[in-house]
Amino acid sequence: MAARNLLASLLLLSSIAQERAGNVTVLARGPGGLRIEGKSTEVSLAEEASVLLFKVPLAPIDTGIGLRNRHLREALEVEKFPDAMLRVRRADVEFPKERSPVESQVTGELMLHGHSRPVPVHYRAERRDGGLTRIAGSLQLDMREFEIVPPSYLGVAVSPDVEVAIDLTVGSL
Amino acid sequence: MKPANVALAAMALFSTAAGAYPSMIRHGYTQCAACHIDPSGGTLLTKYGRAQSELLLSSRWGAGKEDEPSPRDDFLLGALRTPDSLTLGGWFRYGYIWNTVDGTLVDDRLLQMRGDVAAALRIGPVRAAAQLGYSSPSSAPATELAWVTHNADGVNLVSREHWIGLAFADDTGLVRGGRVYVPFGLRNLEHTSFVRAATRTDIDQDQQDGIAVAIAKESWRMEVMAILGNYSLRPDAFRERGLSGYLEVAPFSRLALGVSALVTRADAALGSKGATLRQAYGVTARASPWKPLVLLAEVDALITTALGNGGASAGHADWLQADVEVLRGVHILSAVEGMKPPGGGPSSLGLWGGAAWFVVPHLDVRADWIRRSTSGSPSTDTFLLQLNGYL
Repeated sequence: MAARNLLASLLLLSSIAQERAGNVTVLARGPGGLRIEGKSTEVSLAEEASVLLFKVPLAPIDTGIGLRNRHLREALEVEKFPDAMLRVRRADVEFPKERSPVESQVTGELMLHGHSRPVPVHYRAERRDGGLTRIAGSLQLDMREFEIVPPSYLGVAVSPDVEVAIDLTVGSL
Repeated sequence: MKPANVALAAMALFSTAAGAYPSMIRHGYTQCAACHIDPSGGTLLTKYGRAQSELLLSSRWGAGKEDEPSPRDDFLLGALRTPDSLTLGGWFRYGYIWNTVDGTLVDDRLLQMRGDVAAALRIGPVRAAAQLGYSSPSSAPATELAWVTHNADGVNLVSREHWIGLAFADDTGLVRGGRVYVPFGLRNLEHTSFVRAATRTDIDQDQQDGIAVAIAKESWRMEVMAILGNYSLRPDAFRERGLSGYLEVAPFSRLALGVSALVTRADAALGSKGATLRQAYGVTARASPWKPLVLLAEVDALITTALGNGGASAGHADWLQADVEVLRGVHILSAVEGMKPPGGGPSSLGLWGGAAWFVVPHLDVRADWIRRSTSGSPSTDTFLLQLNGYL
């Protein structure tokens, strides 16, 4: 059994596309034009048999204020649900060719806070020198659909609508 | 300039200051409304604003960066609980000033700069706020335009703002009437800077009575005000009436660019005593290219027209400030400013250097050195130490 698990792990590791650089931006809004931006550089892309799986660990997301990071982790229950994952079927994705970037929309499945919901994802992908591919994607979500209580602090409540943007350069697709 | 005049000017220059921190853009706060009752900033703090004072502004003395702010951050160190609909606060500020002319000390004294309490109400869509404070005789030159009482040589009550309004559009908008801070330019603390003095938009006494509409959105904010006159000022001929406003856009979370305009008319201008049309048009920038560094800039064109004889004259006032947070809560401040007053007066240049330390939440000390040079006059150097507290 141990050998089988090891083999499975190695297969998964080998299928992870070679990330070179990535960042994730989470944008939430509050009253009076308040804009709260969370950033992380931890994003990975793995390829399963027929899907692309984007994975974002939630704990490292930095909003610029330590206490706000803690509130975010508590709202997302990061200890129970450490990652957000987006699954996109390969068959639904248009892949770029040399000097021919693609920009399109696809429906992915977002797993967050223990719930999965279909979400429209806008993406742009382009081939770069050295066999690299840059992927920029964005999506909008409503926290309530994932049973996340929108954070509220000292009279400032965050709107449930959140924008997420991912920018990732990978070695192969 | 006579030394006595310098001393008097210094008294006017360095009385009272409030809490306006446009440099909070370093933390991604391009807007003011989350932290201040006034959507354009600079006044009473909201509960959220009080918390940011500890979380972002001041030295934290061992508190973990993810710790909740102390209950002592609340009004009167948390001794008095208020309902969510009521916000209370207050300011005290003292300073000590030294003035030199051509290197000769001509004045030094303790300054009582500010002693105000303030309250704000929030009931449904109704919003209201008012300040009431004490003005000593020594601070009269910088407070008399906000006096409630009018004792020429004595103590006065002062009210910088008192207004009532209605919030709209999910609290992103506010229409209000009363005495409010004039929406123009950077709402910077340095109320004696040429840009604030020349446009008469400082945060100490230059508020006006009128009706204002403010809107604060994620990437832009604006406020326009119909100025009906400063009703602390008598007689009516001195009251300026007109329009003022600004629009600021924030294309990035640490960059905001703005334009401002002010047009007022008075039957008797405070300076010339004749009917005067006063115009100011400004551009502003707030930028934090690197989190410890904030740059604040304002360039204003000034046009004054003496009505009746057709005489118009132009000038300008400019401000460029760098604020570097070298340690948590400790800021090195420097600025350069210029002014050419309308009417052909001599040009002036100012250099500012200093430091501010937010020692604990709601208490800061600040030291400033200001050298001002005016063509044809000896240069003046001012040293000022301030202790500023927020109740």
